[in-house]
Amino acid sequence: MKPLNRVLIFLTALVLAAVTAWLGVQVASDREARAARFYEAVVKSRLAEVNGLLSAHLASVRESLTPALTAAGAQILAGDPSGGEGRRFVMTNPLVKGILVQDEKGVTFHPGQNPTGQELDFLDRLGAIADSGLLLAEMNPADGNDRATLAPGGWHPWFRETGLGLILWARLPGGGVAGAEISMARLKADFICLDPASAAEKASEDMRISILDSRNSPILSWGGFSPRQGTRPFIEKSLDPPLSAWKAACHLSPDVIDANEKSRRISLSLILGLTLLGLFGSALFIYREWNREVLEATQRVNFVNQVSHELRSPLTNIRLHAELLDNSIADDDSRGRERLEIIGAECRRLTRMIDNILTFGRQQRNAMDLIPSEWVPDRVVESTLELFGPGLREKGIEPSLRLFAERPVMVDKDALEQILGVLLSNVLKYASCGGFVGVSTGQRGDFTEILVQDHGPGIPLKSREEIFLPFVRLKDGIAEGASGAGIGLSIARELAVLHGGGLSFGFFGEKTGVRSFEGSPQGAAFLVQLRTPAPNRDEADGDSKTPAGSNETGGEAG
Amino acid sequence: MNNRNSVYSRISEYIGVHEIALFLIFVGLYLPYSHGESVEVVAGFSNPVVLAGGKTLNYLKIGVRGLESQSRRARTPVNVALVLDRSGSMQGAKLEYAKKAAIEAVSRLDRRDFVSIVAYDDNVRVIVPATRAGDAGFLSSRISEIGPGGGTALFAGVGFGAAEVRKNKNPEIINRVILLSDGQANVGPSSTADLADLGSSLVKEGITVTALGLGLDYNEDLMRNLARSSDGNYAFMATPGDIEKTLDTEFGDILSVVAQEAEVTVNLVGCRMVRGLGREVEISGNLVRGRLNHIYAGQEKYILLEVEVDAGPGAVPAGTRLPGPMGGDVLVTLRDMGTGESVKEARTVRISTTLSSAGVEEGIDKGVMVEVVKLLARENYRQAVNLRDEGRVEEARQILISNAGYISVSNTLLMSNDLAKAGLDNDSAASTLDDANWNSTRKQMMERDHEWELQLR
Repeated sequence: MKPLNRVLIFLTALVLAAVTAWLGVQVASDREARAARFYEAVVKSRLAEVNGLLSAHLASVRESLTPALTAAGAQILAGDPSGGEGRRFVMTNPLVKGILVQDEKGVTFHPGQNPTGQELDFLDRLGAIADSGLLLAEMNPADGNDRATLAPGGWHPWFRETGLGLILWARLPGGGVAGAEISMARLKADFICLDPASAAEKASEDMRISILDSRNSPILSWGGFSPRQGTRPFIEKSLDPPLSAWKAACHLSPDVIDANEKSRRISLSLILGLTLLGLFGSALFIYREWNREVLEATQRVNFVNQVSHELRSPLTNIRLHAELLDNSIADDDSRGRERLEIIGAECRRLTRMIDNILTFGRQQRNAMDLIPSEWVPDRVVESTLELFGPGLREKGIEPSLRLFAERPVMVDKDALEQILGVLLSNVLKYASCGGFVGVSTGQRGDFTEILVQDHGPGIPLKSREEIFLPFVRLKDGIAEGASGAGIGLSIARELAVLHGGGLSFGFFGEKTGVRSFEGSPQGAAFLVQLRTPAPNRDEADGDSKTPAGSNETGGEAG
Repeated sequence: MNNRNSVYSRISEYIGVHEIALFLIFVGLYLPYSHGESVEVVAGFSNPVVLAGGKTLNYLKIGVRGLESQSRRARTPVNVALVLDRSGSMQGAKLEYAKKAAIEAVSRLDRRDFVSIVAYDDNVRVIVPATRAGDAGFLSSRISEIGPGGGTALFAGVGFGAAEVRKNKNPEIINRVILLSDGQANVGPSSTADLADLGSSLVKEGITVTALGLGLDYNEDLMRNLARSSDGNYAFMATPGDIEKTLDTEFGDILSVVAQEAEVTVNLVGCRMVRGLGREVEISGNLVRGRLNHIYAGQEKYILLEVEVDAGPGAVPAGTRLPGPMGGDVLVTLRDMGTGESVKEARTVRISTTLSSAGVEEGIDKGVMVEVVKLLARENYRQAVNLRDEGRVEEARQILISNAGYISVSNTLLMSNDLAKAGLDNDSAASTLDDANWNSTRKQMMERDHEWELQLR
């Protein structure tokens, strides 16, 4: 196959593969994005659930503690010297570490007259809050809302060295605020025990959901997967106030992402691989089929050549013996002579056909070579016409001649004969009904031209180039019954071209160096042009000096 | 004339109304004393007689002892959660011994009791949710299935154990979490403060936590403070073989609780509170409150207060108005597990003055004094350990030596075997301070300290 075709097929396959690969990547990344979004959605919803759980618990703590806190605070504010109510509140509530009471002016009240060591510690811890009046500020937001809509209580987050702390504050009837410091350890323990069964279900083997405190250490976590130290979580989300300093985080096992990644990569690679395989496979297949067909064709041609070669020698033998027989039969055996004529003619025809085939074979192998020698073209034309004479006469055709190629030139006689033989046998095969064949020759400069005309059915316009292609025989009505492989004209043209000229169809008028016969309403004409330089001789021949372009033909009209 | 009449008239012949009245009064008098059917309360000063004039330090001890005889009555049901550490470091012999000991221990429970088993590593698993004990086979099979794991979520383990106990919590039964761990808490809240906070919050709802530490690698401060803040027990187990004995003792304790929620309130009169020794107390002016929590049969728990007595301005001529009464009004409240009722015991303790030092010496309450010396010596002992921790070896040694001296001087009067032993311990500790392996020496010293503390439990 031609290299260009090979390259084209390869390039096409490559382009198709690239497009498929690009599509595949698009699909894969799209799927990856969707998978990531899916996981994100799942994880986010679980984190939101956990957040909700914690917030609900805080709400219930507030609900249960606020009445007691309010009562204790009111008592302390009222000035119970024993501090019984206030202390009892702290002592009986596992979640409460201490109680802070302030009146509207921000004066701090202690439970009882003599604070215990623990209470002093507590006041130490909450000193800043007590002094800054933050709790009072919680109660009375700056935007001066209507008293009735002021909050009755709530959470006040505060930050210590150890992290987030929470104070539950409650407005006291009659003014003032009471705040309870919540034991964060106890709160965390309660969170840990919050409905553990369903929380564990919510976190599967591939995940770990953790609640992180303000220093990013995990307070509690659920899930079967243990992430490596320092791995960043897949998704993090701050909890709702008042726990906003804490975060819920989810670690996804890399297996989950990897497994999908892997399976995606695998399927993608598989698809790509198969496609590429398919593409290149088909390309290869086409290539090989093409080569195979070419090989087969070549083999067929070689076969034919081989056969033709084999046919040659027996044929030569027959001719030889026919000629010998011709010499030995009696002169008056006209019948016998006739038969020998026919044998001879047919042998010659066979020889021509074999020659053509062999030439064609050589043409296919680019093995044609011309061997010019000195001849007078007209003589060659005449001898060829003699060979065809009987056949023509049989069809009632007498060749008309206008031969003006008398100069001896360098020409491959066999080639010329072969070309003329093709044209004349075509006339016999296709144009004999016209009853006419005209052969004109001429020489112009280094060129010898021969025109063969007939009055046959002619060649339709659209086929006039096609007929020079090998194996082409015109079908419509002309070639019915005629033999021939359709290689003649292609050989003839090839030979003419090799000879430095060409073979073409049609009349060319004065441009040619031949004098054509008058055309008829229909018919064909074929013009042979051969480059025939003058022979290399010492003495200059007047003819060879003839300037190009002049008409060397005689002035006789035909 | 019927029988009853004749019996009655027979009795009334021998015993008059007065005798009956006296009898009743006697019984009535005894009643407050022995009404603590399950406990005996004793309160007294170390120096009930002080030299008139000047200020001196004095020590008030209020002791509550569980009565042995009570252990014959039907014992109080318990509600216990056993929290086992199954982190990676427990793998092998430790976990096996722990499981075996746990199986042994829960087999002592019966259908009156509630039991739950919690195991933790990175995560917490409730192996057996709170259920009635008694099916030893079921319990032991679940315990045997426990295998080793990863990290140590100690805080969460205790939290879950407490949640299981909470399910059946009842002031009339003993509610306790028993924690067994060999390592450092490293998952979840892991600081001593966190655990101590958790302990204090649990004790408020009547749940105590006992912390049992195994081996040399656990965080002593953490375990100890957890137990202390929740009024539970603390024990150090040197080897896995000790687990069974220790767990046995612990179960023995909880099965022998005679009273819980024991609280002591003291109103000091005529003297000033300085500090509480050996136990956390709440001081509010002259009012002191301390928590004793569980009282075990055959064991005494006490509160020791250091007070300053102002015995007036020196020797006074006769007829001078003496300073007012000095001493304390004591109130002990607790819940008797036998009757299920709250019990209140009141005592009034007074200090008198004398002009002779011999009188002071004769008046010394040796029992109280021994405890005072023990506690003060313990304080010095622990200070020596802290100094040695900081690398100040020589200072630590000096303290131990002077401590031994203080003990022996005190003991010449008190003649207590316990104190003698304590003196020896101080001496030997002083000489081992240089040991290359301070870690194990320290553990031994703390174990000794802990043994002393056990006497205080």
